[in-house]
Amino acid sequence: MTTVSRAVAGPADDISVGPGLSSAPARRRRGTLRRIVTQWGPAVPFLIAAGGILAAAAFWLIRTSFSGPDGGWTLQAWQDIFAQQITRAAMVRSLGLSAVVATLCLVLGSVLAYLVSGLARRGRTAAQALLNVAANFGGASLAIAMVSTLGAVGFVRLLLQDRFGYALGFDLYSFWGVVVTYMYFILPLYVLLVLPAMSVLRAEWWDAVQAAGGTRWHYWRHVGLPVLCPFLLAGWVLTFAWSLGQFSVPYALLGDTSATSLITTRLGNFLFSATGGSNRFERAAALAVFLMVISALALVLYRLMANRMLARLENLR
Amino acid sequence: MTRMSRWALLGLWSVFLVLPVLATLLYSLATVWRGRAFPDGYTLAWWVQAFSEPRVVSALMRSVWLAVLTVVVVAAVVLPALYWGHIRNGRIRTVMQLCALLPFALPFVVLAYGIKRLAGASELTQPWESSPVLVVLGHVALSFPFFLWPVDGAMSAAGVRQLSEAAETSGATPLATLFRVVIPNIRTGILTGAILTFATSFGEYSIARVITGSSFETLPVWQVSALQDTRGNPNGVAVMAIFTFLLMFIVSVLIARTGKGQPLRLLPGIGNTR
Repeated sequence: MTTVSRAVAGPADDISVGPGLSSAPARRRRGTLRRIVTQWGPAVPFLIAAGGILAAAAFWLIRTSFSGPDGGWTLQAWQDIFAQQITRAAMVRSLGLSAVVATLCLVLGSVLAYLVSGLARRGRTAAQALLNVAANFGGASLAIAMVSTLGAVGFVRLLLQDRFGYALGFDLYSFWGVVVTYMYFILPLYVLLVLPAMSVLRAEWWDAVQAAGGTRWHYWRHVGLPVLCPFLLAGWVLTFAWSLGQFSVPYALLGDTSATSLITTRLGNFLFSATGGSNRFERAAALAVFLMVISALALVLYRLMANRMLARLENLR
Repeated sequence: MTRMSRWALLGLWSVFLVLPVLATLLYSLATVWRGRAFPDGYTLAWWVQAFSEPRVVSALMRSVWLAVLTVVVVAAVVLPALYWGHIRNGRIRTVMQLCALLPFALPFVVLAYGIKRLAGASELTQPWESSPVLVVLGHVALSFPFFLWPVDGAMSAAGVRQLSEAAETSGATPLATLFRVVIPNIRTGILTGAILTFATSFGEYSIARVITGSSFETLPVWQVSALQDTRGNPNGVAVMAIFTFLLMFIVSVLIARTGKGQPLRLLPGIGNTR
């Protein structure tokens, strides 16, 4: 790649040498400019539209979270979000919810991914396509589907009541209701994420463990799980960050009631209701930055694990 | 694990995945459904009614053109950059892969609020602070990774650099190379990327809601407000949920078709950044 780019940059330098009017440093500067344009030119619209806007938006949120009523710098918004009981409770609930969802995915999803990987080729392809549907079936439509299933007059509740005379005590509009709803689309996502990792396991290893007199338990304890560990943990981290940032599902389900508010619905409350107090936009920004920092940390952690995973895959293949 | 418990586990999971869809479908077809296990009768009236209600139809149309516009802008912005990254400057690809991780570090609602604040910050952009233009921009910024990954994979697989070198030696202009050699060779990747981008943009709620309040009502924005409206019509809401589900189903089948059974690379940021 570098040889090609030099070959292109070379002639560009020569062309930029003018009729000898400009001085040497100016010529060199123009040469550098020309090289940057030929090297990066077609990427400029992308860099502005995607990278530039994302980075500028993130930067501006950080600035807003520290700004006072007169535009000066203040910590007021940050103090407010940590001092306010409802908001603090929302943070704890959000982090707890994401940890529960990610852990359930780690336990159930890993087993399910192993089972799916054991299917025949056709079955696996079909399962992948269907899981893809479920993973994409998030947002407002999922909230509607869950209300039709487990809500006050939901299908499952009516079915149990009518056929078995059993009154379901489960409340959809609670912490565990949101957990179940998240599991609908995040569990398939987790399975799709860790499914490629399952191909790392080899039948010979199980044979070797058996030859040494080991059982299934020995195999998983000493071979299977240690090999899969970084993949599964990376899936946990990504699932955690993914559930933390969900807005449309909890907002559609819970609205912005304070009893079961999450960081994201609290943020929505600051933005949409006019009763949020004088610096509600600054507090919303602080809350957004708080979310952003945790998600970014999770992502850095994921990248580190991903690099280790790649190294491991190289070793195994 | 025995065969039995394997199928039992997969079966339980399938039930969990199918039940909500079934329940919503029943709601969208039920005449009266009170206190019984199944509806008293079935009708298509809710479907007819939903698709003849101006508010629903205009929300649906808005979502469709928003998603189409997003796909077009994403393709126009990502393709040249990625092409250049493959044939001239490998660092562009590294930068793009890193940018593609940003939407995962910025929850969509945070991204939406950031864009809104950013537009409101300067005099020049203030009139656009709550305009649909900003919504398109937001959708582009969050959905481009879904276009980037399959197209990048397709370009690597097709050996775009060798192709363009060959075309150049034969005397083709760069534009002709792009349109007549490169794009035909990565059609599958572009198609997959476009479908995924469309689906992401179509189902996205927070960007439109946060940026425009409720003045630009896309389908998801309508769905949430209709769900929370106690006097609303639950059957009509169910109709649109099933409609969205069907759309996602078609999208997934299309991708499985075009990808010819290859596993979807959903794992963000893994591979070919080296």
